[in-house]
Amino acid sequence: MINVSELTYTYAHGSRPAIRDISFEVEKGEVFALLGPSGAGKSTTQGILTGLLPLQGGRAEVAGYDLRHRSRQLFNQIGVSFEQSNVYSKLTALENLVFYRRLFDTATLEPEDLLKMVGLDQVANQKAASFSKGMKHRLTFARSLINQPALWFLDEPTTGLDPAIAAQIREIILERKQSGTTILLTTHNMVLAEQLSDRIGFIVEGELKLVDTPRNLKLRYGERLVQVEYRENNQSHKELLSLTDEQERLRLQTIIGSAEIEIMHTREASLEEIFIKVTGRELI
Amino acid sequence: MKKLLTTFHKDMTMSLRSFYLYIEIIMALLIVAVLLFVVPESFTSEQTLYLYLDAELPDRAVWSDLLGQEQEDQLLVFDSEEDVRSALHDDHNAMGLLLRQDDGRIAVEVVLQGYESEKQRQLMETLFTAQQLQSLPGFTDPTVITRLDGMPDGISDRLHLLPVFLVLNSAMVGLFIIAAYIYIDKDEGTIRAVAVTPASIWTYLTGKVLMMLVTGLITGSLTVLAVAGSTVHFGYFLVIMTACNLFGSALGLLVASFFDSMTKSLGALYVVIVIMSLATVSYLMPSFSPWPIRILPAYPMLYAFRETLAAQPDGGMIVFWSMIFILAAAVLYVLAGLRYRKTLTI
Repeated sequence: MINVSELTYTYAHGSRPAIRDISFEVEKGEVFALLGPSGAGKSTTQGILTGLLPLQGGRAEVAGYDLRHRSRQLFNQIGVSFEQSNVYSKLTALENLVFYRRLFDTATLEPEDLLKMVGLDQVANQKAASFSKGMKHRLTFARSLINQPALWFLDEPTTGLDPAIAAQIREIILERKQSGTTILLTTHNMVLAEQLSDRIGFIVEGELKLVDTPRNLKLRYGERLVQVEYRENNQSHKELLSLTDEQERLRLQTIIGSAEIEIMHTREASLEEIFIKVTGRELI
Repeated sequence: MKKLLTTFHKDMTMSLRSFYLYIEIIMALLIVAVLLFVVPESFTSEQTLYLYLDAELPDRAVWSDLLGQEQEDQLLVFDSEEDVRSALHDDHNAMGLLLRQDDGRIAVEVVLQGYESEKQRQLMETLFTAQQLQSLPGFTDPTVITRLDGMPDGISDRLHLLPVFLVLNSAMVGLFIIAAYIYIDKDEGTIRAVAVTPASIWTYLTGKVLMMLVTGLITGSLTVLAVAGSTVHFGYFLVIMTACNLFGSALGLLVASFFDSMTKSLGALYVVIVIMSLATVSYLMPSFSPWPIRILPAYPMLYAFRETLAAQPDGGMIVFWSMIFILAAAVLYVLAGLRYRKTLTI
């Protein structure tokens, strides 16, 4: 669905490329997350792939369309949910979606259904100017689905939302994933990326450092640990033991054989810890 | 076409919900009020003559009839010189004439207000002398008046002013306001949302241009119908207004395409508007028409609008300039569109 090769982009007033030689592929029905701190090049990459920025260097194919020969028809296939809400404040929620749906040449979803899906049906006829930041974000999110995109670009879809709404948005994304929509997710939220993504790409300072599945990343870079709480001689003990260290593995076997285990669970390294380990940068 | 109508409908809806359109309409109403209630139908100053005829003057009735035979309401005869001077003190637009019998000769004293220039005084003196020459046998008036660039028939001074307001408020409305609308879309980020739909940049820009055209036609028609009434040749008016409005919007689009915010573009837009306004100086004061002003687009616009108000309008001239402005608008529009394709979403 997406095929990117040696993508490079430099802004007009930039002293160095915002992204350099980025290459990756996204298969149909896959959820691919670009993870990186602010200014890493995530949004620039997405900007090029959605046609908002011109293709300067490299090659990119999106939904079967070569971006060197852009066709407006590409936009019938894709949906874009922006990080910053961008709806017409002087139009109502319903008017925003009705206007937007008429710009597409394909079958679209009913605006009322979309508003209901994101919990804005009660305020459908209110001007967006009166909406809270979260409501505007949900309207922007709903709008990106109106043409039932085969390829869905999501830029920080839950950033700045309260937990309940963020969970609602996450559920909608999971539903779309299950129905076969290809998704390119750009975020610095590791938890969201891990929950939703089939594969993750770490991007830092305009370079794609690593691409793999969350499981493989953890297996390859995470230290597997076991936290065990047990009773011995009428006293409670707690230990954290590595499964990759031979001595600690033996110690775990000893505890299991001789003590009364109260709690025992594995503890994996978080994606954030792996990101720092791989890139040497924090996700700020 | 569906996308264009959708975009146009959205822009008109937003326009009706924003203050720009209402500013335009209020301005049009103000212009109508000024033209109808402040600007006189004619600027011709009708000076009243306050006359005193000495009691010893022979044939007083003949003098009185002679001086007032053309415009009786502009001649007032007083009983004393003091009455004339007192009346002149109250009416600064009048002049006095005192005719006395002095040693068997007629003495003429012209009483002016004091603000008249030396040239005017000399002219007055010369006119009186010339008046005497007319009484000589065989006198023929050598003066022939020829109008080189006169006002078309049927145009009053008030109507002569009307094109200035039509050009600045309705025809060139897009020059400034279309840029404001685009910057609002940029600020709200909605331009990026439209950019990721199958609608093209041309659809987006044309929607805005059509919105400005409707605004210009509404305010322009309102102004011209209220001030000129049935005098205006409405068909010609719509043609030239459409052409000039399209030109103004296309020029506004092109200027705005070089900047990414309203604040940054204000200087450039202001300079363009001031330069265009210079044409009104030559229009109102034809004796000052240097070629740098005559080549400004607003210059022929003013005369084309004036022509729509004439009793016998020069249709060829109106259509010619309309074609020129539509052609120029098309060129500017394409240039602006090409620039926006590269810069609008960056």
